[in-house]
Amino acid sequence: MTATPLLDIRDLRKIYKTRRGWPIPKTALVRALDGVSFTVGRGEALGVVGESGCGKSTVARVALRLQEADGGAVQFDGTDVLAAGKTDLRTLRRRMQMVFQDPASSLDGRQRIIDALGEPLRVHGIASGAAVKPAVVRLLDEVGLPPSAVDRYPHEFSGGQRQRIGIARALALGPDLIFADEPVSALDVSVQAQILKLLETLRRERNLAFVFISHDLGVVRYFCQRVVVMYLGRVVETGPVPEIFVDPLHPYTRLLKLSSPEPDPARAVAMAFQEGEPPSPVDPPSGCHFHPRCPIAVDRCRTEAPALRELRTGRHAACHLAT
Amino acid sequence: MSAPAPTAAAPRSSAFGRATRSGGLALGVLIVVASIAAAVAAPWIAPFDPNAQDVLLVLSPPDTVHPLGTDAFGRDVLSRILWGARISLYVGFVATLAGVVIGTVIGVVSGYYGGLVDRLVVAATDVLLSFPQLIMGLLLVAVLGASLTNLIIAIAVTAVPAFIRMARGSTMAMRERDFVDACRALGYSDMRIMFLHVLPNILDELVVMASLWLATAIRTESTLAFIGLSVPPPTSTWGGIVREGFDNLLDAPWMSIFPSLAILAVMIGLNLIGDGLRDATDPRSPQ
Repeated sequence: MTATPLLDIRDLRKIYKTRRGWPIPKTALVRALDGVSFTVGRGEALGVVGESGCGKSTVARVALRLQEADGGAVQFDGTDVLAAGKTDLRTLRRRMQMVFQDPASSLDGRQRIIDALGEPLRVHGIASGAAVKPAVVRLLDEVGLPPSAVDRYPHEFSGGQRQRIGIARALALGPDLIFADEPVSALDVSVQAQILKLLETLRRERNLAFVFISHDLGVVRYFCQRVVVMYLGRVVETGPVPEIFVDPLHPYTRLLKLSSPEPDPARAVAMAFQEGEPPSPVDPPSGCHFHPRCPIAVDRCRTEAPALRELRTGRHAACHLAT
Repeated sequence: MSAPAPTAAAPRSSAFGRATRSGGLALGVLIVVASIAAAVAAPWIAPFDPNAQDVLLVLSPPDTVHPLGTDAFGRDVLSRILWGARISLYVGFVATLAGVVIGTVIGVVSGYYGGLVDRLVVAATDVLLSFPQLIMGLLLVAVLGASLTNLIIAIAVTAVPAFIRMARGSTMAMRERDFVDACRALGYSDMRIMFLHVLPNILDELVVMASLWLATAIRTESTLAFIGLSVPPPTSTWGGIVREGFDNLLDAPWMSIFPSLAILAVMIGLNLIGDGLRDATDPRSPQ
């Protein structure tokens, strides 16, 4: 971690309201983000892992102001993101970008590649007129696509190629930080490796920071330097790779580790934990959200939510029992 | 989404290919283009002045001089149909265009932003849609008075809520797609996202619906003309000619039959176009 982090997320909250029921609808609150805090340094790849529905995508969307937060603070390089006005936000957009999970849905099917990649350049006044095409070709080259791609439509490309286009679009404005929301989950395993290598190269060459959202521990282990583990809208553990996977402090991280298969036939996948779905975020368990599935839970876990504590240097966990 | 093929044909050509392979669409286009051409060329191809009366040839059945016969004033029915097409088609096209543009803009904006304004728009749309389309048009013409402009306004107003609803629904579906979020993350203005990204993606459906609504608009005009709420006589419109012939329906059926056939042909043509376009733009339709 650097002294002043590039991105500093503090106590971020996002609550969704759902009204259900008949004849008298009840308003239920879904705490998608329930006080999430973490930091990302320059050029650092931070992994955010957790089961689906734990709020890991919401972090990215709120930090990018695609959705408005309900509390907390997001600082990007000293700028308050959540309070940024129109002009500041525009500047921030150039420095924070996003790569989406499904490249088929994240590209406008009616736009040729030259327009899809040229439009951000023109909108932000980075290039105009005849300068757009060479800039687009440079971007394509950086993500490993030939110049001939410019006149094609997104549907003419394979999934991996489309994801490269999505990455090129995120690079177009020259960002310092990219939120990558499950960027390889929709791809074949062989293609995943190529895309990860590309991201790794970009990280080194451009000194890009990443918030890498994934449920695939293997991918996170390869790509990230640090990991944030989320469970039902809360951070349960943070720490550097590989320590966090070698010696997980939080029982949930242990569960994740155990349920992620290792390519070693000698080591059978151990399922010692209670299996089952994570509880509904509409009505999360009291105390520590994880206690119904936790093998070591004690009475205190059922009543008192554990705070994130520093247990080792640079390693935090939110568990009453972890030492 | 199409199958991952790195070197597939361009999308336009495949949609175009599907469109031209369907015979219905071609036939529909032929009928409609022919009608428009006839309407445009009416001053040159109409054998007689549509309003020239000939008291000696009243209610003459079709013959070589008057191929579709004459009406109660001795006016040539063919000429009246050709000239009437100008009004009927003009009203239909202009009213539909206005309805599509206004309805789409309101629908896209309302669906994109959501919130309170969206709720009000939906409520207003529901109220307007609860009137049968014809009653609505009738009401408006009755209030505004029968003239060409008012007729267009009345028919356009009946089309607006349908297009609001459709554009709004499609826009909301598009908003769920990641590319809209990608656009926002890239700092595009809402206007740019709505009209340069969302609109092109919902245009297919709008065009299909517009072609079907064009048929409805022309039919509405004819109906209003039939009950005397269109351009005042002696100007001919298709519905008006049917009405004029109605008094002598048993003695001189040609007066009503031929303009009715013209209306029917255009209805069928436009519906063929609508269905053909829907098939052509639907990626699930057989290749």
